[in-house]
Amino acid sequence: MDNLLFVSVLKHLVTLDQRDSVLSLLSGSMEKTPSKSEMCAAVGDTGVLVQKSLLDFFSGHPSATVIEDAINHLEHMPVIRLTIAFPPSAEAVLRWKNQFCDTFGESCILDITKDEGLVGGAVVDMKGKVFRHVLADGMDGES
Amino acid sequence: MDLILLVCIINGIVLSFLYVRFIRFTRIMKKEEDRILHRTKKQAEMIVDTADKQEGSLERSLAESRKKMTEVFEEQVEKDAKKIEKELDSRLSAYTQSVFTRVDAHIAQSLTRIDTELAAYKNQKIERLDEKVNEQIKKAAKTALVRGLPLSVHEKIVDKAIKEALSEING
Repeated sequence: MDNLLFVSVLKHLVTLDQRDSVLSLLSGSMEKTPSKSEMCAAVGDTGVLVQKSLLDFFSGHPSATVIEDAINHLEHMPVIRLTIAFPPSAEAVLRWKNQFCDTFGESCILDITKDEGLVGGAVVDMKGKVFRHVLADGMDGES
Repeated sequence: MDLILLVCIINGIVLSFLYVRFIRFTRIMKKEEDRILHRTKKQAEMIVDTADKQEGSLERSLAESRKKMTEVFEEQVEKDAKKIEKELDSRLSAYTQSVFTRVDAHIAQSLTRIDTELAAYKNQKIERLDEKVNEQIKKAAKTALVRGLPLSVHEKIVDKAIKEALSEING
């Protein structure tokens, strides 16, 4: 990714929903540059940093090639699927995302699903492998 | 002439004699005819009388014979009917007994099968019920644990799980 402004967007993207919203914005921006309110509405309150970096990105009036490159990059971002038993705090989600990014050395996003049946812990689906560390397994007598 | 007259007289006498004899013969014959007729009539009456008498006797004999034959026939029919009835009753009784035996055996078999199936069904139901109760208890326990644990604890457990996953993928 050559565009440094978009690298900042990638850095602050955390969840799959945010990635999809940004993708949608970028696809629409090929015809018309989105307004600030459209960006805020698309990303939501939880993505303040994403909003800010998007504003910076579009204020630079990116060319169609840059936008296409950004779309392509977003579409191929690694997605870590995380299943947990509770709705997490924004800080925890950011912390987890950073942990994965630091380990893999590239930007990635989280797809978080809630399943109370797990009781605690998480099922991590990354790079085609599934890791299961959940409290429910102990309760059900599973290994 | 005298001779002729004499001959004529003699002829007349002879003819008269013959006539008298003829008349007498006729009378005798008539009497005989009457007698024969009378006798024949009597004989005919006797025959008719005898025939009448014999007819009555014959009819009586016939009636008696018919009555006797009817009695014998009825007696035989009654005997045969009793025999057939007895045999039929015996066969029917044997058949009914065999049918009852078969039906009893069939019912007993069906009852045993139903009892077995019922017991199996009951056990299965109880097992399912147990499983459902266990599932509900586990579900309730899980829900209580999920909601009972503070958010910070949950997040720490996830932190640990992620660390383990990452160390597994790196290792």
